[in-house]
Order: sequence, then structure tokens, then C-alpha cells
Amino acid sequence: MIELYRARRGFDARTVYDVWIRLVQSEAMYEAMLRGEHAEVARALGFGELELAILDDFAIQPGTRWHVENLRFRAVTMVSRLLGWHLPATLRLVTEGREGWLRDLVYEYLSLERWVELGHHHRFAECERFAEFVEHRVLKRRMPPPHIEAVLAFERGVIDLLRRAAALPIAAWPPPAAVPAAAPDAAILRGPVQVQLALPVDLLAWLCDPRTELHVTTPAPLDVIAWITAADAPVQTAPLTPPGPQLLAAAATPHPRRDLERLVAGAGPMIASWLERGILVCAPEHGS
Amino acid sequence: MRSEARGVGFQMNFFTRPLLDELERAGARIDYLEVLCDTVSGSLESPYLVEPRHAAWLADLKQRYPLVAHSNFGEEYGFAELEDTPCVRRHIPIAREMGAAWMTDHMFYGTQSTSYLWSTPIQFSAAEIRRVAARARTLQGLLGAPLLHENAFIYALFPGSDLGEAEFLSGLVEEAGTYLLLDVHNVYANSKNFAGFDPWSYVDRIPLDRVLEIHVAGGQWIEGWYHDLHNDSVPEPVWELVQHVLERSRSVRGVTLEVQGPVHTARSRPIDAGWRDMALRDLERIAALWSRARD
Repeated sequence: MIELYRARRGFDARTVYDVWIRLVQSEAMYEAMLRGEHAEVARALGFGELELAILDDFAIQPGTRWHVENLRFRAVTMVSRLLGWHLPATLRLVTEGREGWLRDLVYEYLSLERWVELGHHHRFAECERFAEFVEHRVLKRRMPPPHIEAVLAFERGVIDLLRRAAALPIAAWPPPAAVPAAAPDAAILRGPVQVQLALPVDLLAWLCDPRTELHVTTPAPLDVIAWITAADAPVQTAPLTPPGPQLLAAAATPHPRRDLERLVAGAGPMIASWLERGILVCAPEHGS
Repeated sequence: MRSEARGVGFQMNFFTRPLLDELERAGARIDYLEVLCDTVSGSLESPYLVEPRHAAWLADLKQRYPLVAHSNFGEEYGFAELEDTPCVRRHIPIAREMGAAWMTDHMFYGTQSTSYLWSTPIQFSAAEIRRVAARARTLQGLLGAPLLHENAFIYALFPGSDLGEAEFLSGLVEEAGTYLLLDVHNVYANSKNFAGFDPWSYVDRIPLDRVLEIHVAGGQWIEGWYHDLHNDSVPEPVWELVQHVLERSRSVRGVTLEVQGPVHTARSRPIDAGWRDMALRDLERIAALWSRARD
């Protein structure tokens, strides 16, 4: 192999890498390179003689074409996969579940970002950036799918929740100990990682499994609470019905259970249920 | 505690995760699993080494098999500070947690991206041997287990290369005190795409006593280029090369089969019902070669 390729000079590896990245990023230069006309484009992009010589060395190798083409395909594959983890309902609405359509959108998204993917090492940031792409580009040029704004807001809210969960030190998660039912003096408060989300119509069942066509359970607005109970636990969601909002507000700071029951009329059964589900937790001094 | 991986290996990725169940039901011999760290690692935006959704799966694999780790895209040979790379922040701690017998890596560039580094082999030069060896030595120290460097499937040589890959890897392991993962299909594929590249000469020019693991896979011709797509049966010349290496190296601890769905190109052969039997046949072939050479 080395017999076929003779280094014309001792190119510094970092300099070569920077040229390589610019070749991947510039679709115009890459296309020109395939035609053997890259010099003019490269000079217009500020390439000096050294960088141009490096570019020539890429250009004379037939495999460079496959290298760029396949890494772009692979980037689309990987980004599509991680978007499906955190924006599944949004993807379903904008692509109607068609993989080819999804790949087209992700290809365009990465092309606009000059093929700087954030990748699975920064997956929340990647999903947020793609959500902005949907909001500011995709939805500007077509009739928006029903409820897309609500779905985007919901999934972004959950991503934000995951970010907050990620920022919480492991030691700060509440212990799984339940408060005994007959412990009226036990201090309890809201779990550390939760968010209230508003839906204009009840889509919650579909949002939890958006592999099928959009399904509205009831056309009335619905408040939802989403929460995470432990570092290795999934996101949970539930409708937030009265007196839930008042209970969450009251439980922003620790209160003995009997005080909470006094502050929020009729909340006794909900307090018991939320303690079991981890929406309410023991205050640290009572949890260990 | 580190596991004792030896014999017939199978690589786990998104595609082979369900395939493993089918192979187990069919009675395939699998002595150890190679886990791609990227498949299970927690986001760098999170405090989690292992992504919570994959924790139970990884624990199950660890309970059932000896594991080895593959730091697939750890960016460790890019130009960022080593301690900031996903390899150091995620892959090495994961390898330690899984009790990996060893960890392998690609000799690729990469900085803050998972795709740019794919098959971007580093420059084969004396200067890069020195730079990369210093990083590899540090990585192996952090790992506390053998670190194996995988030879590359190459689309285009990195400009400025003035050594062959075999000479580059020889110099690297000598200077860093590290080891090799010999991907025999990569050697085969390079010999198909680069006239004058002799696979037999290549395997005889690398230090075979530093090879701890072998990779085998299949590929696909597309428009006159042979691609390392892991999507077909292992070609016969690859088996011949594997036997050649096993007869000459006593250091090899395992031969690992790589299988992967269409990830790299739109023209990759689609998945069908025949893939399970294809993997099964290749695993049986590995087992036969291994038994002849080692058992």
C-alpha cells in the first residue's frame, strides 16, 4: 500500500487532520474534488499551498470518495438512532414513521450543521439541536402535523428532565425507602427530578408509545407530571389531576405528612400514592 | 476481577443484540463476548458510566460470559487532552467495571464527533508513533489490563504517511508496551483494494507474539471497491490467514466474529433470515480452527 502512495513531504499530522475535517465539512469542495477541480474552491476557502498539497494527496486516492460518502451515511444512521431514543413522537409526526424520510431529514440537518455531529457522547445536546431544526426549518415549509408544537414541547421537557437528572450527583438521589403509612410526623417533599408539562389535548397514552398513528385520548387539555426516581430509572409520566398541582407546590419544601394533609384539602390518598411512586420522597433526615 | 476470555468470541452491537439469543438457541459455541463500549456508555452530559437503559443488559451479559471491551470510538488518538476523551471518561471505567480481560481500540483520529473518526486511520509516521505511544501507554496504565490496537480497514492513506501499517504497529507496541488485535478481514480487504498489498507478507511483518485477539468478518464489493461491512460470510482466504497466524502465534487468546447490519452504506446487503445461519456457520468454523490449534 505504502508503495503506491509516496509521501511527498513530512506533513504534520494535526495539519492533515484539520484539512481532512474541512474536506468533510465542505460539500462544495468535496464535490469539486471528485471532479478534480478542488484547487479553486480550496483557495476560495483560504487554503494555502501546504493545505492544498495535502488535499491533493487525498484527491489522488480513489478510496477518499468512499470514505466521505460512507462516513456521512453512518453519521445519519447513528444520529437517527439516538434521536429515536429521545424524540420518538416528534419523529413519528414529521416522518409518518417512514425510515427513508427520517434519513432524508437527518441528512439535511447534518449537512446544515456542516457534518459536525454532536454524537452519542452528547446525545441530549444533539436532540435539542435537532428539535430546533424541526421547529425553525421543517415546520416553516410544510403544513404542520397536528399537535406537533405540543409534542415537541413535551419531548423537549423530558430531555430537560433527563439533563437535570444527569446533573444530579448519585449521592443526591433519595433512598428508595417508603414512608410508613402510619408516620404522620415523617417529613416529605417533592422528588428532586420532576417537571410539570401541559398538553392542549390528552395525548399522553400515545406519547408513551408513539409507534402508531397519532391518537388523542380526549380533546380536553391535560397537565402531566414527569419524574425520575433513581439514577438508573426510566422517565415516568402521569396525568396531574387536582389537587396535584397544589400538593406539588406545598411539597416544594419538607413538611410532616399531617401538615401536608392539612395544607391541601383532600390530598391524603394522593400523598400515599405519590409516596409509593416516588413523586414524593422522604426528606433526607428521614430517608436513611 | 478480570474475566478469562479464551476461544470463540462474538461481538455485541445494536444488530447482534437480538442475534445472540438466536445463536444461543441454535447451540452456537460462544466462549466470550466483545462489547462495544459506545453501545452501552452513558452520555458525557451525564454522571453515568453505563447508560441506565443498558445497565441490566450489560449485567446479564457479564453474568453469563467472560467479556472483553472494544473502545470503538473513544477519540483517544485525536488531539484533545487524553483525560477529556470518551475513552478515559467512559470506556476504560466501563471495561474495568465489566471485568474485561482486555480492551481493544481503533487507531483512528477523532475529536468530539462519532463519525469523522470512523475509518480515519492515523498517519503512519515515526512522529505519530511517538505521540500515540505515549497516549497508549497511559491508557494501558489506567486500564490495568492489556490494551490491544486494531489494524485498520483503509479507504485512503493519511497524507504524510511514510511507513507501512505493519511497521507502524510494530513500532507502536514496542514503544508503548501494548498489544495487537489483528483484524484479518481488514488485512484481506486492504489487499483487495490496494494493488501490491500482500496479506501474507503483512501478517508476517507484524509482531505475532503481541497478538492477543483476532477479528474475522465478511464484506461486500460495491462499484469495484471491497467494503469491510461485516455483512457476509467470512471469505475463504481469511480463514487461511487465521490458521496461518494461529500456527505461528501462541499469544492469541481468542478469535472474534463481527456481524453488522446496514450501517455504513445505502448499498449494504439487507438483513434477511439467512444471517443467523451465516453467523452460525462462521462461529462453527472458528471453533474448528481454534480446537485444532489450541484445545
